[in-house]
Amino acid sequence: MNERIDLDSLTRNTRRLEFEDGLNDLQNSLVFLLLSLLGTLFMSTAGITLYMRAMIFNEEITTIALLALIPLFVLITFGARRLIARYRKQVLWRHLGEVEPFRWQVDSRVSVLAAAIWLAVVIVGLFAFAGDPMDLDADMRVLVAAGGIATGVIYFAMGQTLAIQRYRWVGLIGGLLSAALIITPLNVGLSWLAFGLIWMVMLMVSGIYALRGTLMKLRASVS
Amino acid sequence: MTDYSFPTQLDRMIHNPGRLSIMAVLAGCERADFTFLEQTTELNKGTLSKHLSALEESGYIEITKSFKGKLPNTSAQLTPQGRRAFKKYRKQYQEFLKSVDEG
Repeated sequence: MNERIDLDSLTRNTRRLEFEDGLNDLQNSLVFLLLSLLGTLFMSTAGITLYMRAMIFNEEITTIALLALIPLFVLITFGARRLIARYRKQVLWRHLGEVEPFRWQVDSRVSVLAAAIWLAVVIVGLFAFAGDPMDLDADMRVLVAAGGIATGVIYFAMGQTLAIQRYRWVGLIGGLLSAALIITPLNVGLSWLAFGLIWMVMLMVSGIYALRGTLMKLRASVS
Repeated sequence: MTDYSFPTQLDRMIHNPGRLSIMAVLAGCERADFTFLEQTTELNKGTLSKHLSALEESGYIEITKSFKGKLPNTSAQLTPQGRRAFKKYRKQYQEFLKSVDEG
């Protein structure tokens, strides 16, 4: 061979493309916002009270409205994906051609690691922080925080494998903030809301930062 | 003089620099179109087309021809066989480079 081909960077740069413009982060921040709102609706006292009142008012309409949330969630998520694909094709990647990313972006090893960490945090957390067996809020906070820590591990690992610095920060800060939920006095509904808001804000900031950079590069290349 | 003993077990189909670049790019995605491959591998249209055909014949990639609006669009993706072959090649190639560096 006349020259060395950096196989890893060719593969990595192709994989990175999906995350470089920040649109993926913005979409995920929307998913976290929806998850936190739905979770709070179903887990907080105010949400359950609202649900009970609605059921008393009209059981059928309430059931239909609740079931409609599922396709609505899917529609918003996939609708955002289609919008992103169209925006990339027409603006961001106009001269680059089209590339279809992997359906599942997280390596199986990272998923297994995140699941193991989630389990470890749940076991240790339940023993260490949830001393009172009657304190359901403390138990639920541990579960929610463990989910946040596992999400942080996934983002940090993606930052490492794809060499994306902002994901290292997102994973680290998001993971630490999620861990801090364990020691807060929040009830289950509010801790779920806090979890969603932490990740929504982290990914929103990350997405805006990356998109701004991409647009500046695009503008510079045009001019 | 150091004998680098070129590894004969390396897959000759993938070992060509052009085809190697194509395989490396496709290993990072589900599917990529001709324009994307042209940009990332920096191969000209004719060479890229020739390499894609060779890889398709060997069963390493699958080529799909379609229309995007009125324009024809060619895209390629690694087959499971191609993905396995690339993984094996990558491992052997890196071991070879390591032996060269150490030699």
